[in-house]
Amino acid sequence: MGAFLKKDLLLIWRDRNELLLLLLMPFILIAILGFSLSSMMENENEHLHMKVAIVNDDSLDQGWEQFQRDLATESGMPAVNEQAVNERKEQFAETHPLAVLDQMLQQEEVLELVESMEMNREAAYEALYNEEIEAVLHIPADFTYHYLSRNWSGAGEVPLLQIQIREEPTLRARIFTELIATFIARYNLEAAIYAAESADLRDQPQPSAAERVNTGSELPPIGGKESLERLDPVSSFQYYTIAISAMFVLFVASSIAGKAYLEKRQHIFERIIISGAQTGKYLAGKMASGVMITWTQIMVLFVFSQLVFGVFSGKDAVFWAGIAFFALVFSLVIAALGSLLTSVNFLLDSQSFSQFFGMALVSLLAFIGGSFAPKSMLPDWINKLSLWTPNGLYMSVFFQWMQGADISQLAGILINMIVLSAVLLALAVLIFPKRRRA
Amino acid sequence: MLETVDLTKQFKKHLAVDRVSIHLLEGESVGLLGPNGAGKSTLISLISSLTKPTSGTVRLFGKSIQDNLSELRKVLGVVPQDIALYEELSAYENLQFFGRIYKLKGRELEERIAHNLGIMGLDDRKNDLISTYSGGMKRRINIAAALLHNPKILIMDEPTVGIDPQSRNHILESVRMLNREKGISVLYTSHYMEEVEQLCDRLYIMDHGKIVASGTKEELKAILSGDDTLILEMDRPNSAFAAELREMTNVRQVVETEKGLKLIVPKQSRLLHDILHTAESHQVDVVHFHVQNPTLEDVFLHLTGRKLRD
Repeated sequence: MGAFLKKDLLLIWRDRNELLLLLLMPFILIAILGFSLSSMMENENEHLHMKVAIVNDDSLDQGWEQFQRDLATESGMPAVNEQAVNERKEQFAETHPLAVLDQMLQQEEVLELVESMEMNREAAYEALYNEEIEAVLHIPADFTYHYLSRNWSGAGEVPLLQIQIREEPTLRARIFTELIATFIARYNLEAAIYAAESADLRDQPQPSAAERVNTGSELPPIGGKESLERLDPVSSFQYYTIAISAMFVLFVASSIAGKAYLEKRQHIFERIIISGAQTGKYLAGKMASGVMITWTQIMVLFVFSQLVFGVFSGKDAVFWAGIAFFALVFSLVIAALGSLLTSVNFLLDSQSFSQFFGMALVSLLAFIGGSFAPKSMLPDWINKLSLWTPNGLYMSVFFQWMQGADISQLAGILINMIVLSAVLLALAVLIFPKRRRA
Repeated sequence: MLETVDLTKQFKKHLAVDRVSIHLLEGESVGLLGPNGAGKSTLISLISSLTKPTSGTVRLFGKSIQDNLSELRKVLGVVPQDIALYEELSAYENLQFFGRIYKLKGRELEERIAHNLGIMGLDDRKNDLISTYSGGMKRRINIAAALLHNPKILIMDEPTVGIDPQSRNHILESVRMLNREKGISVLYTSHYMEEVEQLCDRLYIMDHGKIVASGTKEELKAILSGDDTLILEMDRPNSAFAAELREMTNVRQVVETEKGLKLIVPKQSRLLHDILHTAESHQVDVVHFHVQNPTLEDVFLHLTGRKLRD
């Protein structure tokens, strides 16, 4: 097998056109796409940044006081424990929907999109009319009172948040409206969960009227805790280093098959068989050279991208060790694919299939995998389909690794890739033609 | 040593090899003569086990090669008709690769490479890419690659096609040396009669998949012992004249040549007068004629009605 490997590597090295295709072309494309699409990928949030006004006519204190008076009137008894009531009020203030809304608007990710400022009604609507802001969020007076009443008895006016936008709303205004709608839906869902849990308590001894009077509404903590890792955004150069390399490694497969077919056509393959070499060894040689060529190609592209564009600046040795390992696993897939294409060429006695793969299928796979346009611009179904393609798996692994995923999180994909390469290689061995029969 | 018994190969509608039985003894040099499309290359492919026969067997040392493939690989060297070399590699790199797949390595491989390059007279060009070689030089390396594992039997399939005379002579000299001095048995196929005459002790003549004649050169030429070959040189070609000659009794074969016509006629047939008379009636000037000893090409012409080379 060493003889086959050395021979294939020498042949690739001396084929200038092949080297241009495998190394120079992808590097140029990374540069072009990286530079030209950097503004689109990295400044997306700047493009959507908006200003909104919040007009708050509500008063928490007034609403609370009014609610406590209603409670006293209903029970016929005054509040007996002023300290407890004040404690409840403080607790309520923390979980008040407007407090939660404010927390949401102050989150870093939201701040990148939405800049909110408090204004009075007149100023806010004037700013909206003058297109200085995208929307006005109006919190009406008695919001807190209606909220507490509704929560306590289920009756009364529904507390509303009102959004005012221009007659012809912009994309930003729509985004803000959607943001608030999502907030309300989430908040209401949590309130419903709380109400369901409260119903379970009916069998238990009920609190006395006094205890009920002194109990303000209280939002339970959210059941369970969900935390999302904060992922670093991907730069255009990072994206296209991975995306373009994913596409161009596919060409290695068709190149291997094309060169193998040339060996057949030039009767070199016959010479190899006459020497006693088994076809299995021949395919193993193709496999070995495919792994070596693919791995080298990926590493060269990544290293050169780092040296020239600083694509992976700040990444440590562990990162690069992972890159090398993933490149090796993916190389197995490509090499097995090349062996399969070789077998198909030999079976059909034509290289039309591997040529078709190189000219058409690679482009299709690259599109589906997100090599041409960022995956975020592609429909969901295409993104799901991409995980069935070798290059799609490749991109998934590399992006996750780049964004800090642990190797254990990638084990599933890596195993899939190894299984895929085994299947492709088995198929290649199965369909490789035996000696021509009568 | 090596023999085929009623070997047949049918490709869909084409019968390429039709019950061919040939044999090659140890130390012999045997020629397989036939025009393009006679089935020579297919026969070689069957003997070297690249293709399975439709029927018949190939035997090596009395045993079928089907049971003996590994032994066949060790003793058989095949020089294919096409240049089966990597153009982007040097001669040395090609020989190193093919030597290694013959499981040669280390010093033994280096010595064999050096030796074969020496035989072929190309040791000073060993590091040049094959793509820079002339056709004749490529053919020499083609042969060198087949000799790396010291085969006992060498099959050469038209090894001199399309090369310059100097390279051809070198190859023929090398083949003669391999056969006479190293005792390698050679099966040499060609459609060049003169090569086969020069190199081979025994010949098979093949046409349309069949062996039409076999024997030593003398035995084959004796097929025409009762015939003479008349060579006519004319001032200009005249197909009507040739056609009329074909109609004449006792004229066995008429073949148009560059300068005139070649006729095969019975010995002492006294046809010359009639031939010249016919030429005059067609206003053809016969500027020269002579009687030639029959060649293998004449034998082929006699047996098949066709020329070895079109």
